[in-house]
Amino acid sequence: MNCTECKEKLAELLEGLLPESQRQIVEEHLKDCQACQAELQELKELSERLISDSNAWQQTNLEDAVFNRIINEQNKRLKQADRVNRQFRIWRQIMNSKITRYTAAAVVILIVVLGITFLDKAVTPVYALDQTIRANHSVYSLHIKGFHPEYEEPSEMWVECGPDGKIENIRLSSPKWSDKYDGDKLMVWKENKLQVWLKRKNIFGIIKDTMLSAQVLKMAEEFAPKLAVERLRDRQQQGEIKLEIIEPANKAELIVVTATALEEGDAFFPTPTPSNKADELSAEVGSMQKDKAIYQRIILFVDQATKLVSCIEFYQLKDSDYQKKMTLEFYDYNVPIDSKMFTLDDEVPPDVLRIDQTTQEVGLVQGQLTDEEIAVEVVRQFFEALIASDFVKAGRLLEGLPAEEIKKDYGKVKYLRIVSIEKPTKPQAGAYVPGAFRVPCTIEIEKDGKIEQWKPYGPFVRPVMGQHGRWTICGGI
Amino acid sequence: MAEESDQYYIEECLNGHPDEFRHLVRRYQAAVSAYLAGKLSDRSIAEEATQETFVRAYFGLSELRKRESFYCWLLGIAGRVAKEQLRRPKSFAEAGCLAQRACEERKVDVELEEAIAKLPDPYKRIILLRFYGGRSCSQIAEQLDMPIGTVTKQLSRAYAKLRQLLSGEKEVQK
Repeated sequence: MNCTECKEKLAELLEGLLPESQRQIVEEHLKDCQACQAELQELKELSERLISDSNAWQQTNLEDAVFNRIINEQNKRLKQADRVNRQFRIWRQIMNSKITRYTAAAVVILIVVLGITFLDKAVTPVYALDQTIRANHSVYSLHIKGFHPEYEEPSEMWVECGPDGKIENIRLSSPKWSDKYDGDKLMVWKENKLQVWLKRKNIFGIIKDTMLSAQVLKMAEEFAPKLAVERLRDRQQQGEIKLEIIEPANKAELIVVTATALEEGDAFFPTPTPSNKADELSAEVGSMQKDKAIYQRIILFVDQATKLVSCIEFYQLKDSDYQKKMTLEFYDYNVPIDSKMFTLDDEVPPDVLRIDQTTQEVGLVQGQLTDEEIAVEVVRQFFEALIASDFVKAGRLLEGLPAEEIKKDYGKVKYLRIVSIEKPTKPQAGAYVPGAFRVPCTIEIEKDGKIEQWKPYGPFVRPVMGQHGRWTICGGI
Repeated sequence: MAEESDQYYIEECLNGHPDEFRHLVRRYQAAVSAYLAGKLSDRSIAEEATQETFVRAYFGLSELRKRESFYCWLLGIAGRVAKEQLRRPKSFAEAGCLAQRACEERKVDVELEEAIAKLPDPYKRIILLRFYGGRSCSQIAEQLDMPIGTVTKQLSRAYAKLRQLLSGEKEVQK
């Protein structure tokens, strides 16, 4: 073996890739050849220098930084796509506003007039709902805005899921328009406990009722895109809805999936579930489900890169016209949500009225009594408590108000005795407090040294919000 | 834990598991970083540029025709990012800082990386994959779809060229 041949084999020797026979030959040559020995030494040094330098780079971990940038870029693109989206919407409104057939000529004129050029570039759709369903599996946190067509301020929801995909934390901000009675409120749901801040009345309630909790959880699941898309796919397979998909060739534009209910159906909710309890509870939760609306058409806007849903529009069919009733927009996929968002303790003002239903029991148990009987009993025990100056008990029977509040409002007067309690009158439809009984009564009191008969305006008695089988006074005294 | 091929992770990514992209970042971040540090002579700018490279790769995944060529394609993107970075007009302050930082970063062998960045493409790819990507010669042979003999030959040539570049630089410094 000569030096040229040997030098060519040195790299292989270092890598340990030389077959045994060749290795022996090379080592034989090296024994006697200074030049090749020096060459080998230099190679070893270079190799070590490379290894040492590569170690310097092993410490950095760029994964998180890269993903943060990807998510930011994602959000930027979704916002940009929205601008393109508006153009698309104008076209769709024109195409869909009447169920009539357009001739090809009319369509071409429209395209030219509106200057929309991407129509002819749409390729055969490769997108399928399954891709979004799979993308949703790795979504752990999400921010949803719900828009009513007539109001500017959206309701907002933040949802966080655990590693198993189950929702663990919810924050819901409902503006005035979302609920006639209690609008403008903030709710957080965490570890199955619900905190509610009614801003107008400045009441902060901690609710322990599991049914109400379940209702809030159900609402969050309904409006997170995961369930919506799975439902769409299932219903398409069962032939209940028709899907049209437009997949623009330009990857920055959103995929548009239009789902229309066939026959007398609902494209979004599988089966409406009207029941008295559900209506009552949803009135209290004040969600957008309140009207139990039926949407004959929904449109999904899906991002091409991530296959995640950017926006869903809900339409109702009225007089051959599809009218948009609600829009849900999805933001900040997997952007971590500050844990402070899921507790209201630091957000409520110091002068808020706190009612903690988890630590105290509100109202009276109905047991075997009829509704009228329990209403009377609650009123009777309330006034008996006031007569005995038992403000703790009185507070318990008045929405769980703290004793100090009761004392402030009722302590100025001395309660002597109950003169009479009459038969409760049935709840009025459209009354200020729905579902409440009015229990007319006369109480003898001593005020400013004078004894008089007091007939309160109410009191109104109704089931405790979220604690079934328990009744409380809710106002009118 | 057995590692999957580049194609596998790309497939998963495009099928709705975007998180799988992490594996590709982990696998090639050192190689891309070293290459960009060699081209840009500044470790922190190189890190920025590395992130940018991976972000562009992520969004361009669906356009990659031959998924086996992910690594080479990635280096191509890195090269373009570096070119853009170099074309940016630098302020005086920046230019001064660059030289200073290059000297301060003793932990990282800037001279070596600059030499690597100057290697012809095939040699550069092999050196980066072998040392910064932590691949053995047989793995490289499989990934780049060439016989192992070719890999070692190119490695040998790469060493020679590197030494030439490094000693050439030493001459200039003297």
